[in-house]
Amino acid sequence: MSRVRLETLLGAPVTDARGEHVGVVHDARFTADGPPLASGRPAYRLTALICGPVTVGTRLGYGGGVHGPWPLGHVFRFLGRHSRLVAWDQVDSFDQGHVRLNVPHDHLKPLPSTESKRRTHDHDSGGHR
Amino acid sequence: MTSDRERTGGRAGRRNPTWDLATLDALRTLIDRQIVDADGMSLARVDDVELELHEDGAPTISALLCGTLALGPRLGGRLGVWWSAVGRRLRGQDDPRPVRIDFDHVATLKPTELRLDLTEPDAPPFALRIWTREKIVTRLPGGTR
Repeated sequence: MSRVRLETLLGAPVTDARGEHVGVVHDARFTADGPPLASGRPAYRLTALICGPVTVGTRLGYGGGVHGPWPLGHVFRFLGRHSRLVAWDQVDSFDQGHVRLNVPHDHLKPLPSTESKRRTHDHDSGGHR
Repeated sequence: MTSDRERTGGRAGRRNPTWDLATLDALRTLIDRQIVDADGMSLARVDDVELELHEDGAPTISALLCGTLALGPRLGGRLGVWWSAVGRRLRGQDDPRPVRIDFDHVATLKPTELRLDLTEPDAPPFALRIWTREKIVTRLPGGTR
Protein backbone atom coordinates (compact mmCIF):
# COMPACT_ATOMS: atom_id res chain seq x y z
CA MET A 1 0.00 0.00 0.00
CA SER A 2 1.43 3.37 -0.93
CA ARG A 3 0.96 6.68 0.79
CA VAL A 4 0.48 10.19 -0.54
CA ARG A 5 0.22 13.58 1.06
CA LEU A 6 -3.03 15.52 1.00
CA GLU A 7 -1.06 18.55 -0.17
CA THR A 8 -0.62 16.85 -3.58
CA LEU A 9 -4.41 16.69 -3.94
CA LEU A 10 -5.35 20.16 -2.70
CA GLY A 11 -5.18 22.68 -5.51
CA ALA A 12 -5.00 19.96 -8.16
CA PRO A 13 -6.89 20.84 -11.39
CA VAL A 14 -10.03 18.80 -12.08
CA THR A 15 -11.36 17.91 -15.53
CA ASP A 16 -14.60 16.09 -16.27
CA ALA A 17 -15.26 13.13 -18.58
CA ARG A 18 -15.50 15.49 -21.58
CA GLY A 19 -12.15 17.05 -20.75
CA GLU A 20 -13.71 20.32 -19.56
CA HIS A 21 -12.10 22.16 -16.69
CA VAL A 22 -14.24 21.95 -13.51
CA GLY A 23 -11.94 23.86 -11.17
CA VAL A 24 -9.43 22.88 -8.55
CA VAL A 25 -9.69 20.73 -5.43
CA HIS A 26 -10.52 23.00 -2.47
CA ASP A 27 -10.93 20.42 0.22
CA ALA A 28 -11.37 16.70 0.84
CA ARG A 29 -14.29 15.26 2.78
CA PHE A 30 -13.76 12.14 4.91
CA THR A 31 -16.27 9.86 6.59
CA ALA A 32 -15.49 7.62 9.56
CA ASP A 33 -16.48 4.35 7.93
CA GLY A 34 -13.18 3.02 6.58
CA PRO A 35 -11.35 -0.17 7.52
CA PRO A 36 -10.75 -0.40 11.28
CA LEU A 37 -7.52 0.95 12.74
CA ALA A 38 -5.50 -0.97 15.34
CA SER A 39 -7.61 0.67 18.06
CA GLY A 40 -10.80 -0.70 16.51
CA ARG A 41 -12.05 2.72 15.45
CA PRO A 42 -12.91 3.12 11.77
CA ALA A 43 -10.41 4.97 9.58
CA TYR A 44 -11.54 8.19 7.95
CA ARG A 45 -12.25 7.31 4.32
CA LEU A 46 -12.08 9.88 1.52
CA THR A 47 -15.67 10.13 0.29
CA ALA A 48 -15.72 13.35 -1.71
CA LEU A 49 -13.67 16.21 -3.08
CA ILE A 50 -14.90 19.78 -2.92
CA CYS A 51 -14.02 21.40 -6.22
CA GLY A 52 -14.63 24.71 -7.87
CA PRO A 53 -13.11 27.63 -9.66
CA VAL A 54 -12.82 30.02 -6.68
CA THR A 55 -11.07 28.92 -3.49
CA VAL A 56 -11.00 31.94 -1.20
CA GLY A 57 -14.48 31.43 0.31
CA THR A 58 -13.85 27.75 0.99
CA ARG A 59 -10.53 28.56 2.65
CA LEU A 60 -12.39 30.88 5.01
CA GLY A 61 -15.05 28.28 5.80
CA TYR A 62 -17.85 29.52 3.53
CA GLY A 63 -19.53 26.61 1.83
CA GLY A 64 -19.07 24.75 5.07
CA GLY A 65 -20.47 25.88 8.40
CA VAL A 66 -19.71 29.61 8.12
CA HIS A 67 -22.51 31.94 6.97
CA GLY A 68 -21.82 35.39 8.38
CA PRO A 69 -21.27 38.26 8.62
CA TRP A 70 -24.02 38.64 6.06
CA PRO A 71 -22.29 40.84 3.43
CA LEU A 72 -19.31 38.49 3.28
CA GLY A 73 -21.56 35.44 3.39
CA HIS A 74 -23.44 36.67 0.32
CA VAL A 75 -20.23 37.57 -1.53
CA PHE A 76 -18.54 34.22 -0.88
CA ARG A 77 -21.71 32.22 -1.61
CA PHE A 78 -21.95 34.06 -4.92
CA LEU A 79 -18.28 33.42 -5.71
CA GLY A 80 -18.63 29.79 -4.69
CA ARG A 81 -21.87 29.12 -6.58
CA HIS A 82 -20.01 26.90 -9.05
CA SER A 83 -18.37 24.78 -6.34
CA ARG A 84 -19.25 21.11 -6.61
CA LEU A 85 -19.07 18.01 -4.46
CA VAL A 86 -17.35 15.19 -6.34
CA ALA A 87 -18.05 11.75 -4.87
CA TRP A 88 -14.95 9.54 -4.80
CA ASP A 89 -16.59 7.04 -7.20
CA GLN A 90 -16.88 9.87 -9.75
CA VAL A 91 -13.08 10.18 -9.78
CA ASP A 92 -11.58 8.26 -12.67
CA SER A 93 -7.93 8.88 -11.90
CA PHE A 94 -5.54 11.04 -9.95
CA ASP A 95 -2.05 11.22 -11.34
CA GLN A 96 0.64 13.82 -11.87
CA GLY A 97 -1.31 16.28 -9.77
CA HIS A 98 -4.40 16.12 -12.00
CA VAL A 99 -7.85 14.76 -11.12
CA ARG A 100 -9.90 13.28 -13.96
CA LEU A 101 -13.60 12.50 -13.50
CA ASN A 102 -15.68 9.77 -15.12
CA VAL A 103 -18.80 11.97 -15.37
CA PRO A 104 -19.58 15.26 -17.10
CA HIS A 105 -19.53 18.30 -14.82
CA ASP A 106 -23.32 18.78 -15.00
CA HIS A 107 -23.70 15.46 -13.14
CA LEU A 108 -21.89 16.85 -10.10
CA LYS A 109 -23.81 17.94 -7.03
CA PRO A 110 -23.56 21.49 -5.71
CA LEU A 111 -22.25 21.84 -2.16
CA PRO A 112 -25.12 20.91 0.21
CA SER A 113 -24.93 24.15 2.20
CA THR A 114 -25.10 26.23 -0.99
CA GLU A 115 -28.02 24.13 -2.17
CA SER A 116 -29.95 24.37 1.10
CA LYS A 117 -29.30 28.11 1.30
CA ARG A 118 -30.60 28.51 -2.25
CA ARG A 119 -33.68 26.42 -1.47
CA THR A 120 -34.42 28.55 1.60
CA HIS A 121 -33.92 31.68 -0.48
CA ASP A 122 -36.23 30.37 -3.25
CA HIS A 123 -38.83 29.39 -0.66
CA ASP A 124 -38.64 32.82 1.00
CA SER A 125 -38.93 34.70 -2.27
CA GLY A 126 -41.84 32.42 -3.27
CA GLY A 127 -43.61 33.33 -0.05
CA HIS A 128 -43.45 37.05 -0.84
CA ARG A 129 -45.08 36.66 -4.21
CA MET B 1 -10.50 8.85 41.30
CA THR B 2 -10.07 9.20 37.57
CA SER B 3 -6.60 9.83 36.23
CA ASP B 4 -5.91 12.79 33.95
CA ARG B 5 -5.14 10.43 31.09
CA GLU B 6 -8.49 8.70 31.42
CA ARG B 7 -10.45 11.93 31.70
CA THR B 8 -8.83 13.38 28.60
CA GLY B 9 -9.38 10.37 26.43
CA GLY B 10 -5.97 8.77 26.14
CA ARG B 11 -6.08 5.05 25.74
CA ALA B 12 -9.55 5.30 27.25
CA GLY B 13 -10.62 6.55 23.82
CA ARG B 14 -9.66 3.15 22.47
CA ARG B 15 -12.19 1.41 24.67
CA ASN B 16 -14.87 3.42 22.88
CA PRO B 17 -14.28 2.68 19.20
CA THR B 18 -15.91 5.78 17.75
CA TRP B 19 -15.03 9.29 16.68
CA ASP B 20 -16.85 12.45 17.73
CA LEU B 21 -17.01 13.59 14.12
CA ALA B 22 -18.72 11.28 11.63
CA THR B 23 -17.59 13.48 8.73
CA LEU B 24 -14.78 15.99 8.42
CA ASP B 25 -13.37 18.31 5.80
CA ALA B 26 -9.57 18.04 5.99
CA LEU B 27 -8.68 21.65 5.32
CA ARG B 28 -11.30 23.04 7.66
CA THR B 29 -11.03 20.50 10.48
CA LEU B 30 -7.44 19.22 10.47
CA ILE B 31 -4.99 21.46 8.64
CA ASP B 32 -3.42 24.17 10.82
CA ARG B 33 -5.19 22.74 13.87
CA GLN B 34 -3.24 22.82 17.14
CA ILE B 35 -2.30 19.38 18.43
CA VAL B 36 -2.17 18.90 22.20
CA ASP B 37 -0.74 15.93 24.04
CA ALA B 38 -2.59 13.82 26.60
CA ASP B 39 -1.77 16.36 29.32
CA GLY B 40 -3.11 19.27 27.28
CA MET B 41 0.34 20.63 26.38
CA SER B 42 0.57 22.10 22.94
CA LEU B 43 2.81 20.04 20.63
CA ALA B 44 2.54 21.30 17.07
CA ARG B 45 0.15 22.21 14.31
CA VAL B 46 -1.11 19.88 11.62
CA ASP B 47 0.74 20.92 8.47
CA ASP B 48 -0.35 18.09 6.20
CA VAL B 49 -2.20 14.80 6.26
CA GLU B 50 -0.89 11.46 5.02
CA LEU B 51 -3.31 9.29 3.05
CA GLU B 52 -3.01 5.57 2.58
CA LEU B 53 -4.04 4.34 -0.87
CA HIS B 54 -6.01 1.10 -1.11
CA GLU B 55 -6.36 -0.92 -4.29
CA ASP B 56 -9.97 -1.79 -3.60
CA GLY B 57 -11.28 1.39 -2.05
CA ALA B 58 -10.92 5.07 -1.32
CA PRO B 59 -7.82 6.46 0.43
CA THR B 60 -7.93 6.70 4.21
CA ILE B 61 -6.19 9.04 6.65
CA SER B 62 -3.14 7.28 8.08
CA ALA B 63 -1.18 10.05 9.80
CA LEU B 64 -0.83 13.71 10.65
CA LEU B 65 2.32 15.38 9.35
CA CYS B 66 3.91 18.28 11.17
CA GLY B 67 6.96 20.48 11.12
CA THR B 68 8.93 22.44 8.60
CA LEU B 69 9.25 19.52 6.16
CA ALA B 70 5.46 19.17 6.06
CA LEU B 71 4.73 22.88 5.77
CA GLY B 72 7.39 23.67 3.12
CA PRO B 73 5.69 21.93 0.16
CA ARG B 74 2.36 23.48 1.17
CA LEU B 75 3.84 26.98 1.08
CA GLY B 76 5.24 26.39 -2.39
CA GLY B 77 7.60 28.66 -4.32
CA ARG B 78 10.94 29.88 -3.01
CA LEU B 79 9.64 30.30 0.52
CA GLY B 80 8.54 26.65 0.56
CA VAL B 81 11.92 25.46 -0.76
CA TRP B 82 13.77 27.57 1.79
CA TRP B 83 11.51 26.42 4.64
CA SER B 84 12.00 22.76 3.66
CA ALA B 85 15.77 23.31 3.54
CA VAL B 86 15.65 24.65 7.12
CA GLY B 87 13.73 21.53 8.12
CA ARG B 88 16.23 19.21 6.41
CA ARG B 89 19.11 21.00 8.12
CA LEU B 90 17.48 20.60 11.52
CA ARG B 91 16.52 16.96 11.08
CA GLY B 92 19.73 15.91 9.34
CA GLN B 93 20.21 14.79 5.75
CA ASP B 94 19.64 11.15 6.59
CA ASP B 95 16.05 11.72 7.69
CA PRO B 96 14.40 14.29 5.40
CA ARG B 97 10.86 13.32 6.39
CA PRO B 98 8.28 15.38 8.26
CA VAL B 99 7.26 14.48 11.79
CA ARG B 100 4.64 11.76 11.46
CA ILE B 101 1.97 11.10 14.07
CA ASP B 102 0.00 7.94 13.45
CA PHE B 103 -3.69 8.83 13.23
CA ASP B 104 -4.53 6.07 15.67
CA HIS B 105 -2.82 8.17 18.38
CA VAL B 106 -5.57 10.78 18.07
CA ALA B 107 -7.66 10.35 21.20
CA THR B 108 -10.07 13.25 20.79
CA LEU B 109 -11.05 14.84 17.53
CA LYS B 110 -13.56 17.65 17.78
CA PRO B 111 -13.94 20.92 15.87
CA THR B 112 -12.26 22.65 18.83
CA GLU B 113 -9.78 20.03 19.96
CA LEU B 114 -7.23 17.61 18.56
CA ARG B 115 -5.76 15.65 21.45
CA LEU B 116 -3.35 12.74 21.29
CA ASP B 117 -3.08 9.79 23.65
CA LEU B 118 0.68 10.46 23.94
CA THR B 119 2.54 12.75 26.29
CA GLU B 120 5.33 14.96 24.94
CA PRO B 121 8.24 12.60 25.81
CA ASP B 122 6.52 9.78 23.88
CA ALA B 123 5.60 11.95 20.88
CA PRO B 124 7.88 12.10 17.83
CA PRO B 125 10.67 14.70 18.26
CA PHE B 126 10.05 18.12 16.75
CA ALA B 127 13.45 19.34 15.54
CA LEU B 128 12.60 23.04 15.36
CA ARG B 129 11.03 22.95 18.82
CA ILE B 130 14.09 21.18 20.31
CA TRP B 131 16.50 23.54 18.54
CA THR B 132 14.57 26.60 19.76
CA ARG B 133 14.48 25.26 23.31
CA GLU B 134 18.19 24.38 23.39
CA LYS B 135 19.60 27.38 21.55
CA ILE B 136 17.26 30.19 22.57
CA VAL B 137 14.84 29.51 25.39
CA THR B 138 17.26 27.92 27.85
CA ARG B 139 19.71 30.84 27.34
CA LEU B 140 17.13 33.43 28.31
CA PRO B 141 17.02 34.55 31.94
CA GLY B 142 14.60 32.16 33.66
CA GLY B 143 14.47 29.95 30.55
CA THR B 144 15.56 26.81 32.40
CA ARG B 145 12.72 26.90 34.91
